[in-house]
Amino acid sequence: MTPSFERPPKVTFALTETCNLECRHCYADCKKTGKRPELSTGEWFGLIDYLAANGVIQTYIEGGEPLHRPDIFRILRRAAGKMMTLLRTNGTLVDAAMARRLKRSGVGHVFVDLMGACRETHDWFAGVDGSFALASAAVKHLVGAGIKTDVLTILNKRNAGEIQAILELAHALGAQRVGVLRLYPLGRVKRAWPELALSLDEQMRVIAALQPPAGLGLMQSWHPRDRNCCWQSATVNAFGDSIGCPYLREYVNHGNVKDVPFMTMWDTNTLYKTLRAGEVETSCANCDTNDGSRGGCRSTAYAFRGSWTAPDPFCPTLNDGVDLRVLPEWLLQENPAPSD
Amino acid sequence: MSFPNGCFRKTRRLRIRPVPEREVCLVYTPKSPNLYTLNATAWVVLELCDGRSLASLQKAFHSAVEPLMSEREAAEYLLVSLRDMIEKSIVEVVPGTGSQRARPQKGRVAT
Repeated sequence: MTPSFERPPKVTFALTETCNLECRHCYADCKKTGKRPELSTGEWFGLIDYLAANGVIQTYIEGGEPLHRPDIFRILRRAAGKMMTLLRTNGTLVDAAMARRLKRSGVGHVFVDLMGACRETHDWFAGVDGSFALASAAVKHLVGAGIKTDVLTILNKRNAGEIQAILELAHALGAQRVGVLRLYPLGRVKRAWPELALSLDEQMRVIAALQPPAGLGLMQSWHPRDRNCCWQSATVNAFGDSIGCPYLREYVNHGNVKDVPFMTMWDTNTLYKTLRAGEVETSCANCDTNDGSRGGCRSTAYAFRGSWTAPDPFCPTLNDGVDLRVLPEWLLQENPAPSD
Repeated sequence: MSFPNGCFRKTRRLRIRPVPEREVCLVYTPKSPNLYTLNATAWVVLELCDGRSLASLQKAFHSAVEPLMSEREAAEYLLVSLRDMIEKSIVEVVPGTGSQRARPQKGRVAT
């Protein structure tokens, strides 16, 4: 039976679509300045208070680059007073003073992106020279400030040979865990897909060969850990849209929190309810480290198969001949929607 | 860790979020930011930590879990749980006379 929540205990805030970097792999196509008005400080305060009153006890704050927002510390303090607050950052704005300020603001856990184990690779992705040095230093500063810190990386053709080295670097910097994430066909990275996408076999070989240093945790979501997280997903983007999951950002909009209370969307939006119900055509019997969910990630299932109930092609059992190096054409449209 | 004459209560600003669908309780400790998951039995212990003495807790906890646990089992479970929750800043020990309860106090339940 698919797990379910009557109300979401955890919510993601994709706080901004602005960023100080120019990452080739950006899922939101971020710019230094906003494309349209984002939720104001007061609107985020209102949403945090409302969600806390409705049982939300953890928030994961990402972007864009959340620290690029001038009001970020006010928002962090507001959230951390009510919810366990996790923050994902590119790390380039985190010096020792910033790390201490994050600690004082109540942030409980930080995730820093490292796209390579060396300057050449990481800075190529980030599009800004010096990013690797700053991001690596950020991990040290955060650990030094007493904040639990993990490193995240996105596996792709350009860094596949460095993932083991990223694990070792993260360990040396004091990170507790490394999350190796799949490459999603979203935002700017779609235009670089042929250059960056690996076949599923290539991805599985990299994951199977990883040997985390003693004491370092490894998070990965390939078989047998391919989850269908939609049952518990709740995300509000920078503009107030309820999008379920950050990886559904281009496919889903359940409504805007400025127009409809979040819980009303949670309770009544048909697609939101369908996705949370976890109905899938078929699932992998051996993906058993997945919270009891079925069918794998809905974002990649929808992207490559154009159906919410299709199996996830990132699981070898369910792949059924889908070449993950080839992007379906509809994903490159302005407002992607699969053709019938 | 011993608790001479101590009374047990939830730490200040604690947030408690029951998750009946999974028969657990999530607990957020803002002072030392962490989110913990308590199973149903540990959740009972936490709910009883309202300023009671250890003797009062032992009696109330055994009453809540019998006949699933014997008096001895309940006492052992209680002590292990209390130590764990004190270490995690979920519960704190405040001075008491042993027979007196500290001022009644509840955590903030996220309803």
